Amino acid sequence: MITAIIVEDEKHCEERLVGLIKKQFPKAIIILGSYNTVDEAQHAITTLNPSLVFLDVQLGQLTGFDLLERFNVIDFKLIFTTAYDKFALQAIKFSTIDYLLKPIESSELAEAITKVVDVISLESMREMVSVLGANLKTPNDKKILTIASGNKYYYLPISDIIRCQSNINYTTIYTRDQKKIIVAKVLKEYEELLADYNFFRVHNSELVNLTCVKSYTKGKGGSITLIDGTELEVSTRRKEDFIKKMKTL
Amino acid sequence: MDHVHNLFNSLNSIMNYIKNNQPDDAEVFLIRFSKLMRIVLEQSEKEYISIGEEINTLKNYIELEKGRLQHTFECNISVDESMDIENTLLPPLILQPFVENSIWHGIAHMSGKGAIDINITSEGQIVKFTVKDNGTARSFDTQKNTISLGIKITKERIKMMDENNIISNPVSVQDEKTGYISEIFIPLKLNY
Repeated sequence: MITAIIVEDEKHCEERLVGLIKKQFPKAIIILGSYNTVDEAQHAITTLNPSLVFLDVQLGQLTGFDLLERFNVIDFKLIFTTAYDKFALQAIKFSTIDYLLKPIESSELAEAITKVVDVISLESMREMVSVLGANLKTPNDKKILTIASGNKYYYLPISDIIRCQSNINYTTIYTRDQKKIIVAKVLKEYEELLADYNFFRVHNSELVNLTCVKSYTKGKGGSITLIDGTELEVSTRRKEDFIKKMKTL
Repeated sequence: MDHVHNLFNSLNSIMNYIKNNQPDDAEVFLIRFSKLMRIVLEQSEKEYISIGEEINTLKNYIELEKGRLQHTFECNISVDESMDIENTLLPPLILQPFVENSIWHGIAHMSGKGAIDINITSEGQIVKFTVKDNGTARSFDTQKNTISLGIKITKERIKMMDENNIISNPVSVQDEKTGYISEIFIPLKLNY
């Protein structure tokens, strides 16, 4: 049996979430209360000790991240909720903490709850929150990416990633210390996530960390050699954009 | 432009569900509507999206419109096997006005089972989209303004991507008695 609190400052959103939880998990989840400011939520977490927190990103002048900052160690698991916030979503995606877009769909809620309760350990959750907090403070090249592979989580500084290679529905991530991590995500997801961090898709199946490019050989598209010796072709269509992007480094 | 008028019509539909005491239908509609809004917002910021993404958006849009139309209709989207839909690019939401036209000016006024067929093929350096419906197409004259504006804007958008000027007439809409046939041509543009 799971005790939960809801941190949400819009009454209608709170009502919907409570309604959906009560309908789908009437016995499994007990809602201890709903709170609409960071201060109240902090107090509730400290005194009531819920095991699950539904945390809205936007909370008046503050954010759900501000609430998490107030705890040295968290003793709860969490699921974010948000209406629309590109910046927050990117930070959340880097940490792989689950989020629900408002208005919340009941099947997505059920999936998120099942995953956080059955699959994710409190320890993993703590790491993810730690990654989230660190990323919000660090400059771009020091950001950490949480990667789920099989049963393990990896917390990689993105500067350690040399390239990501597409394998149909999977992506293989190659790191500086010669690790090969296989993730159940399509390359496109990483392309979008890492677009602002000097990663460039040189052709259909390769996303390269441009700071790991040792040399470029001219040609129709040309080819690049990476710091680990890998040679990759640059697609003809991507050549112009590739050269432009390299100049900005 | 088309999307704004779609927005207000959808809000109207939601109001109707509420007034007619159909809160569950309103809920389903609203969730679909929100999803479509998000997709449209994200995609309209991009210069190009892939055909795969456009098809996904269209499917969402069509599901939504099925909820609004009094009678149901079928929609089939077929793509030439040889095409790489994840890597072939087009301006976002370029097909929506023609699908909308087929739904509201074609299918909406017919009795019997409505069907819309969307077909995507390529030949050489040109990609062709065909949107066909089996409705009783209203005469062009009565819908002249809205359709013409849609065609004009689409032509301009395609002209912008047609740097080598290989397409002389990017858009044509014929209103046969047995439905509209819209044909849209764009230059083949691949990502990789």
